[in-house]
Amino acid sequence: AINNLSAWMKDEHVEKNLVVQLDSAFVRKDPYGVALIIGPWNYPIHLLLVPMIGAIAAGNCVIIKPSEISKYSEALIAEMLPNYLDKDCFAVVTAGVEETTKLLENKFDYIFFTGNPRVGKIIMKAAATHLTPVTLELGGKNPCYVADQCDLQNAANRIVWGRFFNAGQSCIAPDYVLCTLETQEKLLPVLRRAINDFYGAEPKESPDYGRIINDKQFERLRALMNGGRVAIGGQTDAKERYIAPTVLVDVSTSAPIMQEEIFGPILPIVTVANLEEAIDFINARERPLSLYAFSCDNKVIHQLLDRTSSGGFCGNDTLMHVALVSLPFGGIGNSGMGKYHGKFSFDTFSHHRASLLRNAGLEAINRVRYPPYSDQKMALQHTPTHRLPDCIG
Amino acid sequence: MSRNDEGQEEAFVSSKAGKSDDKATSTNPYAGLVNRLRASWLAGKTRPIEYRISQLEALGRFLDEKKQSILDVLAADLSKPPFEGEFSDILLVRNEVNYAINNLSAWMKDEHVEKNLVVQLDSAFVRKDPYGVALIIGPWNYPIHLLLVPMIGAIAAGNCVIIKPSEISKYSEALIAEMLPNYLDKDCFAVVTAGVEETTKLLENKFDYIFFTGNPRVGKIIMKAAATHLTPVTLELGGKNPCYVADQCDLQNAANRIVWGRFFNAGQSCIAPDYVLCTLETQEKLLPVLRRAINDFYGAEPKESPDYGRIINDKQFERLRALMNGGRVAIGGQTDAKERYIAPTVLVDVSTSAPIMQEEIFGPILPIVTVANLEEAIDFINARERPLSLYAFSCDNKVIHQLLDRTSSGGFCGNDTLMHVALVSLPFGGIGNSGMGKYHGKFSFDTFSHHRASLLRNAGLEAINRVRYPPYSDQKMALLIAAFGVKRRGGCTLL
Repeated sequence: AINNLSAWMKDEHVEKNLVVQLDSAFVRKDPYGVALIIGPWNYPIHLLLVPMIGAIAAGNCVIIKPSEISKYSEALIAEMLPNYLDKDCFAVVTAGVEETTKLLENKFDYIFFTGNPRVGKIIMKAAATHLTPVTLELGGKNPCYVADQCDLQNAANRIVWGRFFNAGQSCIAPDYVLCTLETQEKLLPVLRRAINDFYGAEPKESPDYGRIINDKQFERLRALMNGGRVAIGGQTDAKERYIAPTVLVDVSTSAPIMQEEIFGPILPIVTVANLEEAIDFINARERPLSLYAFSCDNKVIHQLLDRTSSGGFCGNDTLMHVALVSLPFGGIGNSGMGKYHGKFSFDTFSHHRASLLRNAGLEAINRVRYPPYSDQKMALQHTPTHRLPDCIG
Repeated sequence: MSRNDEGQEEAFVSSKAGKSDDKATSTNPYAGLVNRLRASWLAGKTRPIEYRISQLEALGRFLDEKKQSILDVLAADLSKPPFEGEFSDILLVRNEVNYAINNLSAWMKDEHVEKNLVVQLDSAFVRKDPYGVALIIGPWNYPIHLLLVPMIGAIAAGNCVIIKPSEISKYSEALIAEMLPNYLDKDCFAVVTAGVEETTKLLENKFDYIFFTGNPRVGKIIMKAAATHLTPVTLELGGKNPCYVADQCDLQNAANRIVWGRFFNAGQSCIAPDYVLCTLETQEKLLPVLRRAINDFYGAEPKESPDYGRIINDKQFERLRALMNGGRVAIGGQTDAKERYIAPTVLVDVSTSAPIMQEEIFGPILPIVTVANLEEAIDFINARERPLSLYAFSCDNKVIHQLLDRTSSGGFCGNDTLMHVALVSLPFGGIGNSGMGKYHGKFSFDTFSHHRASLLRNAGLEAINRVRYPPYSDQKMALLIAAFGVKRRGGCTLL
C-alpha cells in the first residue's frame, strides 16, 4: 500500500469522446468516510488489519471490532493498537453480540465483515437501513476435486497443508475431497504419509499443529465426525481442545458434516463416479469461497474452472491464490460479496467519482443540444457521442 | 392486456411454463420463472461470446425497429419531446449496445496479473464469471434507458436477466412487455410486469444480482430483501444535487446549462441540478439570464413549446405544486392540472426548512438558496445527504477544485450539468443516500460479473513447496520471507 498509494490516489483520466475533447474527464478516488471493520477469530490480526490497510489507504476513518472469541488477540488489539494510530481517526471497539448489534445501529459509510453467512445476512440487513455499502467475506464448503490422473503424493501434501493449517480453521481450507473410489484408495496412504511427514506419528506432540479455538467449536467438530468412518486420525482430547488430523470415508452427504462448513481438522472424502458427477455435485450446492482441482491433465482443471462458480479457484494447490496481492480475494453467493487484497482493498474502500471539468465558454458547441429542437440538431447529435464500429477507420 | 385471476398481466411470459404446484404458485408466483432462467444459466447457454453478442444485437434491432413506438410511449407517458426521447432513450442506449459489442471480447478475456517469485511459473489471472440470474428494476423517468442500459451490462457479462419496468410509466411498460421478448431468447431473458405487491413477492426469490434504479426509501427495502439471500446489489438512487454558481462566472452560459439540465424531461431526472447555491448579489444577476435562457429554449409560452415535457402523473403533479410554497416565484409558477403542466419555475427567498429543500424535487422547479460565500456553500452541502451529482460554475478553476476536493458526491461536473453521465468511460453511480455501485460502459460489464481469482499451479515442482510445510523452522521462515515478502520501496536495500 505504501509503495503504491501515490499511484492509486491519482485522478484516473479516461478516454474522451468528441463532445468533451477539450475538457478534463477523470475518476477521482474519494474516501467513503467512517468505515467499520468486523473481524473473525481464526486469523484475528490478519483479517482485521488487512482490510484496515485498505480503509486507511483510501482515506477513511476506521472503527475496528476484533472478535470477542479470540479474546487474547482482542485484548492486544484493544490495548496496544491505539497507541500507534491517531485516536482522532481510528478506534478499536470491543463488543459481544449484543453490543455489536447496538454498534450497527449507527450509520457507517462502509462496513467490511468477515465471518459466517448467517451473520453476514444480519450485517447486510443492518447496513440496508442506512444504505451503507458492504463487503462480506463469508464461507462455505470448499470442494477439492482429485482426478484419477494426478501426482497423488504432491496433491496429498498440498491438501494436507491447506486442510490442517491453523488446525483447519481457515475459510479457504479445502473442506472435502471429491474423487472416485479407486482414487480414494490410493489417496489414503499418501494422505497418511503427508500427515506423518508434517506432524510426526503423534501430532498432539508436534509444536507445529494448532488447537481448536474454544469448547463450543470443539464439541461441534467432535460431533461432525459421526458423519463417516474414520480412516486416518480421529483422536481427540477435550482438555487441550485437540483434534487429530482426521480423514473420513463412507461419508453420508446428508450428515451434518456435509451440510455445514467444517472449519476444523477433519477432511471427508466423498466418492463420485467421474468428473461430470463431481461438477454436478458442486453446482447443486452453495457457491464456495474457494474451489480446488488436482489433475495432471490441464483439460480437467479447465473443465472445473469453466463449469463451476466460486469466489476463487486454485489448480494443483490449496490456499495459494490468496497469497498473491495482485489477485482479488472475495466470495460469491453464499460465500460473500466484494473483494480485497492489494489494490482491490484500496478500491473497495474508495468511491470512484466521475468528474468532468468543462470549459466555461465555447457555448456555441452546446447549442446543438438546447431547445428549440430540430432534425438538424438531432443529426448532429448522432455523430459526436456515437462510437463508430471498428471496421470504420 | 387482460389480467388472470392472480392479477398478473398476460404479457408476463412464464407463469404457464412454471412447474410449481398451486400452493407454491400462489405464495411465490415467480418461482417457476426464476428456476427456469437459472437452469438455462447452469446449462451454460449464456456463456459463449457469440450468444451474448447475438442478444445484444437483437437489443439493438429492438431500438431500431421499434424506434417510433418508443418515442410514442415516451410521449404518452411523459409528453416527452421526440428529440429528448431519441437522445436519452435511443441514442444513448444504442451507444451502449455498440460499445459493449465492440469491446466484449476484450472484457471477457482472462486478465493475467503480476506474479511474485513463488508463482512465477504458474498461471495467475482473473476470470470474469457471470453471477447467474440478474433482476433489473427500472424507474419511470427514462423508462427505456434505465432498464436497457443495465440490461446490456448483464447480458454482456453472461447472465440471464429478468427486467421489471415501472408500472407508473405504463405505456413504456406495455411496450417493453409486449415487444422486447420477441427479440431476446425467452429461455434466458424475461420481462415481469408488477406493481408494489407483486414486486415484493418477486423479491422473495433468490437472485444472483439485483440492480435497482429509484428512490432511497425503496432502495433500502430492496437491499433488505437482497440481504436475506446474500444477493449483491447496485442501487442507483437520488438526492438533492447542489449547483453552486460563483460570483466570477460566465452567467449566461451557466444559466443556459443549468436551465437545460433542470428542465430536460420537465425536471424528472435523477441527475438534474436540484437547487442553486450563490450569493444574493449573484442571484440578482442570475435571474435575468435564467429568464432569457428559458425564453430562448421554450419561448414566451413554454406550455406551447413542442420541446417541453409534462409531469408523469397527478400524484407527482400535486406534490410539485405544493412544493412551490417553499419560496417566492421569481420566474414561471404557472400550472395546468389537466395537462400536468408546470412552467419552468425559479424560486427565491427559499426556506431551507420548507419541504422543497427537504426532498428531491424531481420536477421543473429550481430554488435558489443564498449563501454568503464559497465556505458557507461547502458547509451547506456537507451538512446534507451526499448527492448523486454535484455542479459548480466558475471561471476560476480554483473554485471548481475547492468544491470537488471538499465535498462528496456520486459524480461531479464543473461548468455544465448532466454531461458527466454521457461519457461511457466514466462510471455512473451514487454514494451514501444516493446509492452504491456504478455502471455505464465497461463498468456495467464489471458490475454484473464476478471477478474470480484463478491460480493454476504445476502439479510437480514439489521441492519449492517444502519451505512452507511443517515441520517449521527458522530457515524455512527466512526463505518464505525472501520469496513472499513485499519490501518497502525507497529503503537502502542492496539490489
